[in-house]
Amino acid sequence: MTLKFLPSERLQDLLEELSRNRKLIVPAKSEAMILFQDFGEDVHLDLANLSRLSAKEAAFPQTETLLSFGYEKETESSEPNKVALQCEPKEKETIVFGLRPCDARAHLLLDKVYLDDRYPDPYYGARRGNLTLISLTCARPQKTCFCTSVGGSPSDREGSDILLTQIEGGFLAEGVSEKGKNIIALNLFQNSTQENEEQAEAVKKRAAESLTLALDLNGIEKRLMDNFENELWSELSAPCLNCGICTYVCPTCHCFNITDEQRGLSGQRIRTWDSCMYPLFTLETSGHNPRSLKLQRFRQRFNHKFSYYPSLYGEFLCVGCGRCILSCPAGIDIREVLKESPMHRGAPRRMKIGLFSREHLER
Amino acid sequence: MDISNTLDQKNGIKIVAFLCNWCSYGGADAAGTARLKQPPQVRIIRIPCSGWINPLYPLKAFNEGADGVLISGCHPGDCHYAEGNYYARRRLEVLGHFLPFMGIDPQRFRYSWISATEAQEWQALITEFTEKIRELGPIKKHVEVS
Amino acid sequence: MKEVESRLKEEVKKILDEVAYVVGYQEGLTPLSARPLFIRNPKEVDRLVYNDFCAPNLANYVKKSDQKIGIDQKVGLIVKGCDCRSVVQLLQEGILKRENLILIGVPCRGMISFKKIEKLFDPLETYLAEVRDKKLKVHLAQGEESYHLEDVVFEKCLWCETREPLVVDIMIQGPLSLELEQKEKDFDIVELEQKEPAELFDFWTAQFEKCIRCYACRNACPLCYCQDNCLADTRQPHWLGQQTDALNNFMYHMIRAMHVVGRCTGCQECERVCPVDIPISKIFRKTSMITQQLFDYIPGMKVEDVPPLLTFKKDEKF
Repeated sequence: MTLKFLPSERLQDLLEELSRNRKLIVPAKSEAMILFQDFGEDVHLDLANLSRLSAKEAAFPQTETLLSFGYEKETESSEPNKVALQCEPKEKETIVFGLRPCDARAHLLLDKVYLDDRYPDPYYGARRGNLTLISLTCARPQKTCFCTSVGGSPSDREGSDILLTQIEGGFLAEGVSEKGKNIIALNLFQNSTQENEEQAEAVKKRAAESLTLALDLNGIEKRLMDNFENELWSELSAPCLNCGICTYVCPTCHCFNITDEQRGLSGQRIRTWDSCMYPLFTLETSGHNPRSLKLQRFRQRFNHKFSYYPSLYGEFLCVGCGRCILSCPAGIDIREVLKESPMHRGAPRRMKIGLFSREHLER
Repeated sequence: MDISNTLDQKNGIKIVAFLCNWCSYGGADAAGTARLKQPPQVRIIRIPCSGWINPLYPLKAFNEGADGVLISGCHPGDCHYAEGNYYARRRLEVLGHFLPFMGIDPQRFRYSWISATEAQEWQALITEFTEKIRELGPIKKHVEVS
Repeated sequence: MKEVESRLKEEVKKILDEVAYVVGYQEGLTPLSARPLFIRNPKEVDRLVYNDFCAPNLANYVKKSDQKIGIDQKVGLIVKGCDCRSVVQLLQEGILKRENLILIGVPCRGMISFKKIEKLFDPLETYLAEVRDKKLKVHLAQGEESYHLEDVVFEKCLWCETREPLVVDIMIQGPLSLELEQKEKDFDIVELEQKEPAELFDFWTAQFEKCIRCYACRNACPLCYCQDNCLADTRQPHWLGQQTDALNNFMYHMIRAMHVVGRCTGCQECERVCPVDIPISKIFRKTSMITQQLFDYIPGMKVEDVPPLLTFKKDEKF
């Protein structure tokens, strides 16, 4: 690993350098919230606070055109009878700067799904291949952070190309990947000193120590399955509004919908984010909906993250960023759900229908 | 027919007119039969009754790039379905007040009552409305609609 | 307010036998937030809280249930003055049955808006918060701070006309007013309307560009009870595309607007839940302003009222 030092006063130069001929996305303040925005003159960089939405849009945009189509008319025919298709995933080189290590690590979890050996996704692959992630050690984890419980840490290098750590007078830069090492080889970076490195270590240590909450997720995979029908789910899901906030702010949620959006004789086949919280997500053409109840949809989110995904890929589908906790309008806390005693100790009880009757939970 | 001055290439506008089957559509039809000149920028959509109009139709028309929307039905009291246009009157009045708040010039929206015999009134109305929209020019769009 | 809370707990305990559950509030993530609580047994009553941070409109949690389970299940609901208007509106529309509801009215002196305080300080770093002497006092890491209530309560609280719930079974008496400086109703909308339509168009376009179509505004609205059958979800007819751009998001919000005309009680839940801070309640409150101006009608005031767009007068002129 290569270590370098970036003085604070060279930060702006670096951002300008990085944005040259490339797309540079940075966390910036707009009104009261931080969002990832394209770097530009009137963008107010904010590296201190957690962004409202995650950085996943760079690799997995909310709306993405898969192909364009147009119906054409051949002269003899009165009806359009020819379809012209256009499909070329082309992506500009993109850099995300200043994302949290948890957000960077989330990309590895998305990779497992989209860059699977057998069925790699060309669209995601094109974006991902052109993506460089420059993350920043999370010096001040929030009350809602729990990355250490799900296998990460505030200074996790996994998934990042460069990990920056803010220290006195600048940043210590660790080149993690080849891409990252090439960037920190730029003249803007200076050689780091022993003192720089010690300071960075201290920042990392302090950050890790401030995360006192440790969820015991040992065997959660099985516990969730054992409690599939536990009546607790009806209690836990009761306040849920079944909106898509938790899944849309999540850096690891990756479900999508594909639709053809046509205007006149031309249109696009697009891929858009979808959410397991919506009834339409599972509605079948026959009219049957295997997850017609709010409770079922609520349960799916936790089961997918902590049981189905781990059983396929050996890791939790959660990086502990806490955004879903912060944004949930009903105050549902993923940590509480995972901590709930029956779920925790695993004492299977059959779901009692009628406590809240099933229909009540349906929306 | 002289179309050179009606096909306003530079300042092309589109107007959508929802006309009720029993009165206003008849009026427009009568105007056609009488060979009264009507502006070609208008796309007429025949509907069963003005009371059938969901305020979302004009909104969708604007959303899709219409520069003006006109809705016309039977005169109040003469509705083929007795009271459809009474309901329409309230809904459309509310919509007219709501449009400017969302950034759509209320002059781009109009509702009126034209009977099947009022061919000349129809001609006067649609000519004047089209002229107004022409003055206002194309509507601001969220994205370029092809 | 502590007194109100303990009396509320007593009342809830009394009715627990009669109802399937009572919907109330419990502590939230920070001392400045509260979240819904479903109470089914006396033990759960201990978790019940009531303070100046209980913003969620709980009427949302009964909006659909009654049609199906209300027949044999009675529920208790804790309502503030403004929330009660949603209940009245739902009763008026026949969505709720009065006999299946026990309404416990609570006094409200204006609720603190989480979105507003987020702009002033970090609520996650707050240890303690209380309303005292017409100020919001919070203990932050750097010490105690206080803020004018006018700056931190919901807009709706600045012109509140229904501090006391209109329809209740049990009323908990308590402080109803902090003597906030009252503002003219919907003054924020009147201010916004000073802009030209073209400026407003740009304003809303910028807002709708932020929208991620999570549908939280719809699901949190006590009056949006179509839910799974929402027009915004249909593909045929194609009201809007799945793209989350200003064009399609505009149509989504218009669908909601046209469905709450003459019904919106201005509870601002849509705005409270929005994850990207769109001042969305302005759209819906505007529709109510129009119906008040045209038909002299205010939604959610009387159960026997008829919504203005479901009726007409033959000789009315506009």
